[in-house]
Amino acid sequence: MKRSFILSRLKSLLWNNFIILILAFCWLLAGYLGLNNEVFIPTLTEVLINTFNLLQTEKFWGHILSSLGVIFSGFFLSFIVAMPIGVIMGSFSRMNAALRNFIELIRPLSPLALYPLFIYLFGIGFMPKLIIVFWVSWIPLLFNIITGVQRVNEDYLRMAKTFGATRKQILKEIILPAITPWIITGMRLSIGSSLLVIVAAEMIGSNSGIGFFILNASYTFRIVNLYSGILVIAIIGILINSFFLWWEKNIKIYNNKIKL
Amino acid sequence: MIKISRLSKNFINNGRSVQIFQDFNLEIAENELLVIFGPSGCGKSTLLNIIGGTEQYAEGVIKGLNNNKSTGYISQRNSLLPWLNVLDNIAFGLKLKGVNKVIRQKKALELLKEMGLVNYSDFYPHQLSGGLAQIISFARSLACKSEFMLMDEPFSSLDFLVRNQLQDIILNIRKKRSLSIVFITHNPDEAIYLGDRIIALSPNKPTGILKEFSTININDKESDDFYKVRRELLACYI
Repeated sequence: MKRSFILSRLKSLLWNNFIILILAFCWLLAGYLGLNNEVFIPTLTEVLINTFNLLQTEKFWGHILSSLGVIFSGFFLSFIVAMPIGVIMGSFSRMNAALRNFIELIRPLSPLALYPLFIYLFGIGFMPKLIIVFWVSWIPLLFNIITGVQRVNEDYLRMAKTFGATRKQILKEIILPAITPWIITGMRLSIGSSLLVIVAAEMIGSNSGIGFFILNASYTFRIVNLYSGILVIAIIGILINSFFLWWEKNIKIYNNKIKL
Repeated sequence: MIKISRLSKNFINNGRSVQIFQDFNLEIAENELLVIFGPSGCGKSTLLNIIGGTEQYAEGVIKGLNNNKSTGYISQRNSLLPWLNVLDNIAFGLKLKGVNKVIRQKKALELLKEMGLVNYSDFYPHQLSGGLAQIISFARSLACKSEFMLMDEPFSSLDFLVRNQLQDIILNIRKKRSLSIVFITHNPDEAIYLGDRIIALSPNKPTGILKEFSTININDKESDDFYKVRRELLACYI
């Protein structure tokens, strides 16, 4: 039983990562046969060994933690801002109408286009990066919260009201638990965008972070470091996304078959 | 007793005002099971929501509902909260009233024991059948000592056998407790079997009462009286 479970997990793991494994194999084979341009494309083994070595250094971890620190701080800030605004906009159609146009106006503005402005306003360092992460992460979260609130089952609200629930109780006992899956999906989308934008921002104006590390590697022509930086970003992205997917799946277990 | 006097309510539909109720009057006696019967769209659920205080009305007076907090509401779709297990769902109304967790769970467990459903205490709503979910919704209202219950076609999505079982459960609980119920149904047999009194609402707007039937003494689905009321009830709409 246990053996068949492990085998089936292994099978699904292999199948789910089929393309990645094929590409890695091709890369490995190209390096082995000497088909790659060694100047621009180091072998996979070289990249893996270099990444492993880099992960032993404090400096590299400093870059990783710097990027993660900005992502999670900006993300936390966006959560704090999006939660109340989303609940209000989802609950009151007039507030939704009043704020919707403003949000639609700022929504398509490219955060990277605004980044120089943020640097002028806040200088090079933590603050402009925090603002840019906030900028990209709060809107997906906000829209998910609004949709979640608007889709709360009317029967739950009616039931709570007939039991004499106050507005505060309805918010705490009905709306917040009901929108939890929406919040988690919003978080997953937001954090994905944050990861994309932070690397770009660190390349434009920053003195730390994975983006800065990658740019620095290209300026100093340490191509293997460049690949290691990209690999680490990919791994961070996969880990964060997997965590949110796992969380979403577990939340949906108790929301199974229920329209929220 | 609940007394509704001169109730008026209108809806705006495609820019046009539709008068649902105008000078509508109704009385619901203590411990009475009043069935509201009528075709779709005649305003049965609107009337129930107005009585329950979840829908506004333009004019009129509703007397006797001085304590809205003792009202229970059961709809066609079960309104059990999917993130709570059966025990916590039953205790939910008590939680809103600020009852201590230990006490409310004890009360919920007592109710489950009384209904013979104690094995389901840890189940989540999606693990329950439709009928069981409706019983748990009913238990939730009973846990709050709701003396007034609003039921909006609670059994309409259930099969014939489960529906009959639930009807008997309601009748049994009514024997043990003091309970006023306003029950909406499309099903004439259910209306006659459960109801002490049936009001047949008109299909035309503004909605009025076409006819009232006293069914308090009709407990046998095979009796002549049962069939007589059934014929008269259906004749209101043919």
